[in-house]
Amino acid sequence: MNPLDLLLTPLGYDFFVRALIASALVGVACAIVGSFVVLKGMSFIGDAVSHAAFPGIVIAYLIGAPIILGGAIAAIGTALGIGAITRRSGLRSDAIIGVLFAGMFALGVAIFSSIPNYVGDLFHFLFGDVLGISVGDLLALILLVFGLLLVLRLLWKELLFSTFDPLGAGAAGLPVRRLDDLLLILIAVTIVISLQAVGIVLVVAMITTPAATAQLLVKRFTAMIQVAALIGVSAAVVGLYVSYSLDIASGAAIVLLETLIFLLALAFTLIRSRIYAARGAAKI
Amino acid sequence: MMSDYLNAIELIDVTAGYGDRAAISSVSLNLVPGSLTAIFGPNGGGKSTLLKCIAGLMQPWSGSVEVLGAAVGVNAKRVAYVPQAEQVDWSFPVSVGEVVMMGRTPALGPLGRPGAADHAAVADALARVDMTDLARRQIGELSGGQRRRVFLARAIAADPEIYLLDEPVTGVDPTTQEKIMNILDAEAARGRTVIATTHDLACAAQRFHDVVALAGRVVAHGPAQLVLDQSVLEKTYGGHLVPLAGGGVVLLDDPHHSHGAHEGHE
Amino acid sequence: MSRRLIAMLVALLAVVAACGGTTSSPAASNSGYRVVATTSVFADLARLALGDTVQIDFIVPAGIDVHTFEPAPSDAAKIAAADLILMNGLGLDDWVSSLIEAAQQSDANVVRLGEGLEGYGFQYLFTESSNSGRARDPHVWLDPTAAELYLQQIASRVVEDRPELTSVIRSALEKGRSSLRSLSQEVQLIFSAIPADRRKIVTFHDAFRYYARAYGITIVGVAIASPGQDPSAREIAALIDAIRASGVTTVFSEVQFPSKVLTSIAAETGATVLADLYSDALGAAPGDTYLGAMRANATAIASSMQQ
Repeated sequence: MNPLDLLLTPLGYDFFVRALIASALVGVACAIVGSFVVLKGMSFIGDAVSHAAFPGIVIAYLIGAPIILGGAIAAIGTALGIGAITRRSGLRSDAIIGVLFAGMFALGVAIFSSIPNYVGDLFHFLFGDVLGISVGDLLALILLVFGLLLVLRLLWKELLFSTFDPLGAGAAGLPVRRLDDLLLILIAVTIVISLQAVGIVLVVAMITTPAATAQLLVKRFTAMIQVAALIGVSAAVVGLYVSYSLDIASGAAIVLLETLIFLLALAFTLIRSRIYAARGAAKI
Repeated sequence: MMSDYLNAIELIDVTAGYGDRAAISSVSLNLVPGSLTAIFGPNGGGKSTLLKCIAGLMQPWSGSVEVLGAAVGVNAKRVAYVPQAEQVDWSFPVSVGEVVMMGRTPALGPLGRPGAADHAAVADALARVDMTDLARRQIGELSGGQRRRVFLARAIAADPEIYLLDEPVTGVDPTTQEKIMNILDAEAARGRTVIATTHDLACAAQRFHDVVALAGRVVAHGPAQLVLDQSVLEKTYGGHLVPLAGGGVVLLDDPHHSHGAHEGHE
Repeated sequence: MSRRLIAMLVALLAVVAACGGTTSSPAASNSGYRVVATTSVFADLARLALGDTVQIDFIVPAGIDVHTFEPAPSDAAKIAAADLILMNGLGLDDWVSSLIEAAQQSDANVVRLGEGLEGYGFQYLFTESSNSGRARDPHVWLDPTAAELYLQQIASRVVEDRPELTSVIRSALEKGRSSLRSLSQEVQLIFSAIPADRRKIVTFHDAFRYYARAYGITIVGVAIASPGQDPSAREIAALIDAIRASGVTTVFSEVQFPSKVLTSIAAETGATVLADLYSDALGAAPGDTYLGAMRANATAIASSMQQ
């Protein structure tokens, strides 16, 4: 099969094109928000929030309400709760976040197991259902991602200042606490809208991995975000094609690609620093 | 700049702290525009706390703080805060120029984008601290002295009326210290209010106009020579003074000795 | 506690007890013999075989997928109290074994209906395989000829356990078998009226092989290869291609499965999604009996072929 066929054949199916667009959007959104998450060391919180969405999703499933709404309520509530607890205790309280994380997820499992359910639905919540994305789902996703990016663009310098130097920013009159909460909400929303593509278990990887890779490679925040977004999009597109060719779950394929890219970047930077060190030693 | 207030900074009976421990108690202080004041005292004596209360980063438990004639926070845009070096994330991927531009945030407002005036202010600030060539360098690659100058430049770019600096010259080489103090001097001469915390008593005595001796409470507030006053030192540092044979004392400003512990002998 | 509260609690308990399905009638409790089937289909087939002589119950509630069903501890109670346990076997309802163990029931009380068919032409599944080779397709009961054999097994077993019920059961069985035969002829008639090249369907899961074989129908494709697992992108693409090539205009959903993937396939091929074929379980009237369900299936499928 010639390579062009490999590329074009799947595009002949509407469901694949929708899945491709959705995955790419999710890849970009997660990577951009993930840049803040990685710099602030909030990956654990990201994982906690994605798992905390589960009971919200299950309850929505139970009562027939839109799943994204239930997930959003649970995720945003948990994110803000973690923010409040972190501020109160003064330190990032791993233990308390871990407790919320596990407790919320267990709540979801308990409710799900007690209602008449279809195990395929459970798989969708945990690992995504990108092939089942409808036109309506996609439009909502497009709107939400653009809304997210718009907010980030408008509040860019405030978020940057507040993330980098909360004391300086607060003294300069920026509402640091509210900006922190806003960031938590943006993270929660990004997670929830990404769940359909990659699911609860893997979304933290979509958020963390491209940004962590970018951090290895570039030294300016704006560049970091751009590189992360590029990785997010590329991994999403290629990952979907890989999942098509190899018959494996798309979310997993995307995350595996992102991880591979990270490892390559890591190897590259290690080799590069060896070379610099050798050059430096040679000069002496 | 027209001032319809007498004191740039006014604290009345302020008590503040962390958890259940007060770091400063019943502190009353007035600082006028054009003053160049050093706050010195032992570790745990409340220097940073005092600065944070003025900056609006901490809420006092009691008492009032007025900055530029209004409650704290109202005039936050006219205040610039330079944090201690330890409190900054130096691995953050920002360049020198970007950090200095952050100082323009209050001037830009919520949706503003940097314009010609802002770029000019940044360039000017960088020039004053002699960092123009390093504008594109990531801050983690800077030396200690350079790092200190970047944050000073950020404050300058904001063109504030009040400078709050937490340990601006601690641990920097004499050249950098000289440069920083020259700038602060110039700012005070322009009518700005400059307050810095410091451990360096010699610097406080030589380069500042006034000093405040702070040991949880205001021990003394007056001309810089107060720093050399033995009784002030004793009251401020308490058991931190170690007498030497042949007269004179050595000041032990050791982080392990917190205020109140009597380790020395009189 | 007040009397009102007690009355309400009793009413509540009665309602709860009635859920989960019983096809018993007042006379049934007389014989005291309790049959528990895994699904409503086998429960109804048991009723066809045995009439009202015994109490019949089933485990999987309406609207739940039988293949991936997770039994609850309360289901073990039903099993424990049963004199006869009817399951299909062939991989459909193996989960009942854990219940049987939990309830400390004897394996001797279990009849594996799908496996007791001597000489029946089993079909094999392409995608699944067990340790002993390819797995057999368990959906045998959808072929009325096989359903008759199910009836036979059920009747024989109950007569063995309760010889005093022999004559009652014999007449019930005869009635049941003749109903099945006339059903079979009816459906045969319906489908033979349709030209062979139009006898094509797309179903949700691979449940209709035996049915299709009995009536000369071609299964163009199924949405999910195995219940609980989503189709992969290529499988969806293949199904879309197959639908387009075959000219099928209807795809059938089933009530126990979510139909998101089916809706998206239908949208892309211009097909219509028709509810709800009865496959692994019965539903509301007219699909609340085996005969009713089979007739409803035939009508729905035949009319879709004529589009």
